[in-house]
Amino acid sequence: MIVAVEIPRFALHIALRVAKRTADTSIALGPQPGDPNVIGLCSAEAERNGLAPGLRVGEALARCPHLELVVPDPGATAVAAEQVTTALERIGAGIQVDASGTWLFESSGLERLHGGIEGVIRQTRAAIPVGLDVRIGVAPTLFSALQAARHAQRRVPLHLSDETAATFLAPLDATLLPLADTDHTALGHLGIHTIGQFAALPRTSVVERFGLDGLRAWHCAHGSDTARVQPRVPPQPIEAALHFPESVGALPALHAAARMLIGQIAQAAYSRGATIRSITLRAWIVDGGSWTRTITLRQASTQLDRLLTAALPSLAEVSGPVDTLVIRVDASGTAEGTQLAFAEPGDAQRRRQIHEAIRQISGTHGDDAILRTAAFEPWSRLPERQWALVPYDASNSPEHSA
Amino acid sequence: MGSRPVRRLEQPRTLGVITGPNGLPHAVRLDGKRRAVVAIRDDWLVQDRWWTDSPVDRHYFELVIEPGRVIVVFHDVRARQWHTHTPPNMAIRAQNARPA
Repeated sequence: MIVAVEIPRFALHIALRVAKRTADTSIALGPQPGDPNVIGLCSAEAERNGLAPGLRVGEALARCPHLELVVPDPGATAVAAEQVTTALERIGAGIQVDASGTWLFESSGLERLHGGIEGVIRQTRAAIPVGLDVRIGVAPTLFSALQAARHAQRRVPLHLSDETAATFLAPLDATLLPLADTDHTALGHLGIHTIGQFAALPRTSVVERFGLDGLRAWHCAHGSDTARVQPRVPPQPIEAALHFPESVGALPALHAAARMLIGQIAQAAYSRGATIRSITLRAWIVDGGSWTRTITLRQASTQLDRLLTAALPSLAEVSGPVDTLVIRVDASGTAEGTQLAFAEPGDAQRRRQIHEAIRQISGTHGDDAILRTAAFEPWSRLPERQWALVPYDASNSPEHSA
Repeated sequence: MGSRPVRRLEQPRTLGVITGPNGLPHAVRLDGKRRAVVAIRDDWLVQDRWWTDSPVDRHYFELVIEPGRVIVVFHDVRARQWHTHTPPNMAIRAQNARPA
């Protein structure tokens, strides 16, 4: 089973906690300095008054005159999110953090440890900081688990089985399916508005019209998608901070501070025998709020010039005078780990399917049914001696020899 | 394990080439049609495998033929025959093949 943990309005809750405010009034995240003049996440009361994220501030105040705006704090949000992830990892789960701010993990390895799925859910709930409105969904597939978490009641986990997943998904909006915007528009034009209607389409028609993405979405709609949780590698953080005696707004001063901090961190990582995979810059703004950026390096490194080249340009985006600069890195790279990934992890499944297809075709039509090119004498000046077609032998492929 | 057939790619196939008095290609017979050579873009010699019983001595030509297609042909100097490596229907358009 896959467990999805969703905390609605997470960034708003954290900003309110920093500002020591409560969420029981009409309150919303305001715009960051330099950002478009629109509101962010809204409290439930604000949403009842017709507000939604992305509304212009003027229009929001017109609709809801008692609306209060709170300064977003992405720095504190990132710290809190990392605390939640670490707490979930402590119960033994391999966590994938979804782009939408949902935490996902496989429960199969934990159920015996914690006394069944109920025990896992109990541990999960205990790992979330008190006061946050957590929704938990449990389902056999990734897509179903995400949707279950989004539709679960507070304090009541929504538990789907193989039999109930498709029934639960059927009435949901088809826009939730993982398809491109143009495909969603096409579905609307075809009069398909729910996941159930999409699932009722013939598989071959879906593949013909929407391609492989459509096939994946079709499996999602049936509660039979094969995507698995891809847990993150737990980071090995190293952090350094500099509190300025007086607020600093000049870019050269910020650069000098960042150079010093990154130098210290690179030295610490090097002495550990580790390399740095990503750098997170956080600046606490004097007027309240914070600014944060994460830069993921293409290749883990401790070379100072490379780290500075990656990190320093981002500091130009800091929106106001800073009183504290924090630099945190993930030093989970190994000193030898300089080889880049050849293929995305998602390719493994496709490769397995291709190999199975090859095995079946070869079994039916003989070894010569599928051929591959092989270099014979690629150095030869005679074209006909360079390459040849030979029977494809799946048993000699890297998949099988691994 | 039975014998595994190996099919070499780019095997030369015989081609009808009409040459001028200077021995250069003047027209090519392709798909049953006579195609005039518009231009010779390049030519080069390949002499290889001279240490074996079947040495290779070829004069390659990269031709632009009507109607604006590129084909590589070679003259086997020893056998006095013309060949091409380009499979039928694979001659590419000249403007696409022209290097930048």
